[in-house]
Amino acid sequence: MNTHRYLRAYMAGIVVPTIAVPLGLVAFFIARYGFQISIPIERVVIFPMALVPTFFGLWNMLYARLSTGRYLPLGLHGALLPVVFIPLGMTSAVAGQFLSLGSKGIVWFDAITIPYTLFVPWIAVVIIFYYLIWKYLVGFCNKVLEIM
Amino acid sequence: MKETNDARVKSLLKQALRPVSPELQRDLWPQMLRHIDERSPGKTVPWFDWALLAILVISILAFPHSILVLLYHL
Repeated sequence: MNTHRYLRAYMAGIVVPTIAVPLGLVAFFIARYGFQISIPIERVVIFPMALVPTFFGLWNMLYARLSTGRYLPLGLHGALLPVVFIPLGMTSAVAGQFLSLGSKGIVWFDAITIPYTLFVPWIAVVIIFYYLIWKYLVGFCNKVLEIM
Repeated sequence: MKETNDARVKSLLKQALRPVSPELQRDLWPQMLRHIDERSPGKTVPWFDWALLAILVISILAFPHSILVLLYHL
């Protein structure tokens, strides 16, 4: 299987976010209707549904391109993605009016406050999350589709 | 006479054997990597990744609301 390498890389990349989106939607519905957190789901889902899978696919295509020579392991390559995603996601959230800067911290969905002191550790957690997802889940898909 | 025979044998051999392409039909390196991987003893998750997973789980348990923000980025 040595044809359409980049197409296979794209497809391997989008598997994880495509599976995660419905699960995320369920979590948002539970938060909204179960815990009465006023999340504007119709605006929130735009970023996870439209942009995240596409970026995962393109990021994996980039890995397929770069990994032919000496390059980072897949986990570290994936851990770099939040560097792009966090500013993009936050910009999208500000545009969707469900992220604001409060006096104590960053307020998501008018309900969840991440204190400014915890912002850097929170970014570290997101990076860890991405590292593990890319190393094990995207890595598995890449092996199945013979990208690596 | 001998030269004629040689030419005939050569021609018969050419007909009997498939032409060999000098180019590889497919990339053998992924197969080689998989072979090496299958032979490597004990495919275990390194302790470092367990530690990272523990940090992730502890963070989520400490700040359960942050799950939504994490899911938003996935």
